[in-house]
Amino acid sequence: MSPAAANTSWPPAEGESSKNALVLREIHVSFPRPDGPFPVLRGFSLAVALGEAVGLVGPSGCGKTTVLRVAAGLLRPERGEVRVRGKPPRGQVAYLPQGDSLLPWRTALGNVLAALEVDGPVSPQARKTALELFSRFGLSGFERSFPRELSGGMRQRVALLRAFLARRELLLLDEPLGALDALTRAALQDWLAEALRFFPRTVVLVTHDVEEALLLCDRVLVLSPRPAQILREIRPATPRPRPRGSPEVQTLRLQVLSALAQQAHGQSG
Amino acid sequence: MDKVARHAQAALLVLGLLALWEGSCWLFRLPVYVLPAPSRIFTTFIRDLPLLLDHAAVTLLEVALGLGIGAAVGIVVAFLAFYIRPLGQALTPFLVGSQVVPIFAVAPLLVLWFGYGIWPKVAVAAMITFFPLAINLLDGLRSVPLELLEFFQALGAREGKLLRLVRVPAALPFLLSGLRVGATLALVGATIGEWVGASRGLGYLMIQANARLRMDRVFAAVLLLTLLGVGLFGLLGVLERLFPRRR
Ligand SMILES: Nc1ncnc2c1ncn2[C@@H]1O[C@H](COP(=O)(O)OP(=O)(O)O)[C@@H](O)[C@H]1O
Ligand SMILES: [Mg+2]
Repeated sequence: MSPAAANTSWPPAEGESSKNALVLREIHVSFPRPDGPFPVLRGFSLAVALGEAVGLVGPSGCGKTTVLRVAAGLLRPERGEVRVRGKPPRGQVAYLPQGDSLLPWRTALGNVLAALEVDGPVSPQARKTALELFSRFGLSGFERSFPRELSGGMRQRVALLRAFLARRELLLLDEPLGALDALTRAALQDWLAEALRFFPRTVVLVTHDVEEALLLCDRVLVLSPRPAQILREIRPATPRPRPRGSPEVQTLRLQVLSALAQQAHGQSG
Repeated sequence: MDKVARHAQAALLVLGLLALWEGSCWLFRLPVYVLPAPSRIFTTFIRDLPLLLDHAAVTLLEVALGLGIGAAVGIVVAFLAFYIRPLGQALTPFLVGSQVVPIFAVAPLLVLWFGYGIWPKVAVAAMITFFPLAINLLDGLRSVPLELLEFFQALGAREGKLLRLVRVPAALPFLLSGLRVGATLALVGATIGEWVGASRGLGYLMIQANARLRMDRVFAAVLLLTLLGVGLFGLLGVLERLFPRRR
């Protein structure tokens, strides 16, 4: 894709680049396989408004992680445009990868400060702020613990705090609570809602927990199996975060699940 | 408790073998030039200690120089092979294949090229250090988990930052274990280099003693070499424990 070709179609309309924190347009991605290219995204498009929280749910292997990696500028699509606040994405995105992404040789505090070190030396003031946030976000006493010494829930709190402290407008979270047991996950969902109140961000949250997306997001997108397409868009009427077990969340949850099930059925039948 | 018992078992076994050795020497009246008794080796070791240490200093110098040069070249080559993809692809089979080449067998050639001084021994030690270290470090650099890197890449970290924050600390334990493997082998390599041709060093001392049928002195030198090897291994082990593979 030449930059010149990109410029002819971009920006499409006055205002769109300023009101959208993230725009993905007609993204094509395929991975090379011995038996030929393996298409994962074929014309995937998504726009996320500034300050919006969007949930992505879909069958595993449909391309959710690929969407986030493209949006973070980590994976160059074969075709299509990626814009974060109207510019190329690299350097503007706090991306929390799926799985354990903390540096095992650094303490919890060291990991959080590593995010700041990307932008330059860490001032004593920034360090003090980070320490205050540890106690504010339920991590006091764990500053000097290594990741392997922390429970799964504590590790994810550190990983999320690190992503918030990185001070990027766009936050991409890839199944951040996916490895946790149900009780810990519920606690961390409340924690994440609180963190988002404290650090307002534009969020794309990939999750396999439909309820989680409905609790925390303004909009939930149901994706098809690979190559991922947006099957349904669900906008709860009430503002986020929503109380767990509210009738609205429960009704919408069933809707999303049936959309996912229909798709799975369509695939096998 | 279990560990103590196992250590005691090992110690007993060693003591038993030594006793058997000592007993056989007395029983069969074995001459020193065939097989000296452990007690004889030990007294020779104590008596000859100044001489042994004198030669050990030379061997250690060769090992230290060899380790330093081998490690420096190994680090540079591993990073080049990591960053320059075609070079890495070309080097990998060579590096892996080199593991089965008996570098000790090259020692006579090196003596031929570099003469009788310390340099052929340094070269053997350096070569022995270089290969396992380069392979290990390259492996370490290549196996840094993607999810560790991508968080920083998305934030816009350049390669220098990625190196400092992620790649080097992640690969450090690999480098140290390569160095540990290299260090003990380098000691053997330097000694063999001295067998081939030298005027000083523990290997030279062994050859001299051997020619004069002073097997007790040969064994005393072997004992010191063993102690030095264990010491070197332990020293690098301490270093390794400071930067463990925390995964
Ligand atoms: N780097 C890669 N190389 C080859 N195939 C890949 C790669 N990354 C992802 N894939 C494949 O692309 C598909 C979508 O992957 P991913 O985006 O991780 O799905 P999801 O996150 O929705 O589970 C999967 O079938 C996966 O095997
Ligand atoms: Mg995924």
